[in-house]
Amino acid sequence: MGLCYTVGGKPVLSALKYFFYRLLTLAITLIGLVTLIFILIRSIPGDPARVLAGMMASEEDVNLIREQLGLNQPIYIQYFIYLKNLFTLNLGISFRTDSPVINEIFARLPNTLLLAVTSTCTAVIFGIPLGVIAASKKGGKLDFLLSTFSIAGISLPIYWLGLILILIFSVELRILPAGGSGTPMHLILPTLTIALYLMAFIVKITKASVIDSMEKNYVITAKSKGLSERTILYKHVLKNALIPVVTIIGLQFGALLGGAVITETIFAWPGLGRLIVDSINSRDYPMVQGSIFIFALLYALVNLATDILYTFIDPRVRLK
Amino acid sequence: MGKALNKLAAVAAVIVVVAAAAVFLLPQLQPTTTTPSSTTTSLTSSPTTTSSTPPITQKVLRIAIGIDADTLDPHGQTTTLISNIMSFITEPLFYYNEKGELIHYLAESYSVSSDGLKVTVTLKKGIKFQDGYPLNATAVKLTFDRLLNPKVKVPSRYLLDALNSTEIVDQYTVRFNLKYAYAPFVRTLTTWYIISPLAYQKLGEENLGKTPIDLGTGPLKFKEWVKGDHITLVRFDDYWGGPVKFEEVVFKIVPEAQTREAMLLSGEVDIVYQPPPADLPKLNATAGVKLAINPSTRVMTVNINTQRGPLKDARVRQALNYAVDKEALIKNVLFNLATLADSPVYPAFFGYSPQKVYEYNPEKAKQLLAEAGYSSGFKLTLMVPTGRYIFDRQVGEALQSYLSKVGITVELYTPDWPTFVQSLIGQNYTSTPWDLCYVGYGMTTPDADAVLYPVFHSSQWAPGKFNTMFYKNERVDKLLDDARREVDESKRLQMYAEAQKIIWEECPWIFLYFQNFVLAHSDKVHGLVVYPYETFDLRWVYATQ
Repeated sequence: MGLCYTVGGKPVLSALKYFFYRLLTLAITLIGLVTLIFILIRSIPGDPARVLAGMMASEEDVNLIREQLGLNQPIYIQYFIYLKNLFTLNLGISFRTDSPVINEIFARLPNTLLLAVTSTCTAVIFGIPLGVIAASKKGGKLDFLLSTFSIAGISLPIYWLGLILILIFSVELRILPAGGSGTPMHLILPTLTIALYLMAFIVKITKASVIDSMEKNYVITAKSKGLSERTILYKHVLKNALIPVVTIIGLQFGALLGGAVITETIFAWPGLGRLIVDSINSRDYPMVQGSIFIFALLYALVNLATDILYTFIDPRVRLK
Repeated sequence: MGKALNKLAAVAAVIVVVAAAAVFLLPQLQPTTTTPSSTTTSLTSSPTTTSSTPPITQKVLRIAIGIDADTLDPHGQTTTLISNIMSFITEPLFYYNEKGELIHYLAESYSVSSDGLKVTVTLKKGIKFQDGYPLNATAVKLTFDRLLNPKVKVPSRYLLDALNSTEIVDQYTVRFNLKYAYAPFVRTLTTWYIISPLAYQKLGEENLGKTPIDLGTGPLKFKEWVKGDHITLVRFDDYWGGPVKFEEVVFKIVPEAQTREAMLLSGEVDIVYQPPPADLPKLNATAGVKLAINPSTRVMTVNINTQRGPLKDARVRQALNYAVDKEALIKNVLFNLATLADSPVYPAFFGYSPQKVYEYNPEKAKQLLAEAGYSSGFKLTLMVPTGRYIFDRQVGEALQSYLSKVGITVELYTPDWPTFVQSLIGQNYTSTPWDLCYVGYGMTTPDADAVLYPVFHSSQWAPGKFNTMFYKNERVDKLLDDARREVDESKRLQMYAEAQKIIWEECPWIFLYFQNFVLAHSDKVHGLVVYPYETFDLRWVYATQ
């Protein structure tokens, strides 16, 4: 989202105007996106009516289903019906399940949100302090250990990590369930899988950012005033250093809302990501369009929230 | 300093990863050194041998499955698995036994008129639906009227093409009036689950597929469906066959096969549907785990586009059959998870007639190609789905290498499933993006007609139909036409024997094998029955604690 900030300068637009502007660009982005999805999903081969009817179904039955789904109409009519419905927030009826798409999405969304929140929180709670420690002990043994951890965390494929966690905690130790949902215990392994990856990222970014800030002029000033390393680090440096970290967290959290597809699949977690993949595989057009639309909407809203968060961390940042 | 540190850290990270992999994967991998041939069928309990009183049993049975249902409408199923689950709630007039042969189920007896146009079925008496409604002719008529209603999505409706109407003769007798004599009709009745008129009225078309409460006569009742997570069924105490030995069964939806396997090993589930094939030798060697490996009716084949280039020549198609070592394919690529096919018809089906398997003989293949004028070889495209059948991609690669040995260059085309289906049956013979296609046909009707007519009759050419080899032989057409109208069963047998002989000689397929169906379960689970239709039965199952 092309955003401009001005440090210390006067804001050009009032906050209200700014939000209006943001909402307008959001709407335009979303219309562009749904159009793109509408075209993309139809341009991959495969006939939804045939998939739905089954491989052995007769051509007459397939045609009947095609008619029931409205797929016999010209494509531009289908598009306009789709847009018209979208404006009334009607995402249509799933080809596969005959239920409203919005119901299917809202049945999965809480699971996705839950996993995104728990794993992001875990990653933040451990990642930021560890990143700061790594920066303050730069070159030491602890830093070495943390660097090793974060390189491993970023490079390990999530698929592999998830299966290893299952092998350790479910098959060998038998203390955590391997798959499913319903109890807090079920949440632990998928949370850990995503959090380890995310945490590795946060440690790396926090460390780099803190080290960068430590070389700024105001730190030298503070040092010459005789402030302790500790005070400088926690009172002055951290606030500045956190801005890029917040950006990363915001982006990653947004991505998690679309569903951590692989994690959801491995741990049989009934989230949005799996729904999107299943829907693509069965060419369930309304479901694909609907879930990607909702995902994009959430992603954009999280981005907006991240931008607002900047102003709290650093009052010098003003929205233009 | 910083760079050196990063490099060192990267090296350390690699060491940690490799060490972790070694620690946790090696003990898992070791048992795979045992020979795959040691995997045996563990179908120990049969329905007749479970009368002994079992020890304390589990109240809840947990089964891990790979896919979720699209609908719980018993007539709206497209997958064998969900249809299988629906068979615990709702039941058909006829079913099959462990060999795959037809048995009476809700039906007591049947008779066919001499012209073959009227099929009369008498129902068993005293059977009640889960809502208390008695099983009677009204319920059967309602079921078949619904099946013929074009507004209802019924993917297998093509099996009912011959049915004109259903008529109530008396309280326990129904008559099916056919449009044309169709000898396999009674055998197709294994597909259709009878529903309660009372439950149907309560649910309406709106909710039938979402919450099929009390819908059938089956041993289990619908309780709950949490999409993407689980389907729960509970015991029906008044089941006509006697109540099952557990109170509840939970089908947990676990898309990843590795996770399903882990859940069995960790004791989270009792039965696993289709565990990862590559892990079967390991699972077989694991204490506390048993495998149920059964042949299924799913015949795996390479379809040959018989209307294209060199493939028009039957000698070339025979050469393809001689060029592939099917036994080695089964042993080395499929870990013995298949049974060599000596006919396109499954052995337990009515009309099966075994043929002489084309032995592996690349010299003979080359000779046949030379006779046909193709000694310098040619190029073909082989379409293979990925992840749909056991080791499908690997089979494709093996076929590629076998054919290259007789001078045929094969290019693999591996689209996703919807694209695959579209490319298979949505094209005419000039436009197929493949020359050869690896595909499996799972048949639900135990009759030769079920596979021969839709796949080999020339009236069934794609697009939209199943003769995707574009095979045409007038004698075969006539035999298949006559056989489905013939009421005399011994004459039908002769016709099918001749048709299979011709098809086998003309090779519109590279005839391969019947794929096996695998369940893994805890050794505490007893009485699990598996049918050759890739289905299982829970009626006699109990799990000790």
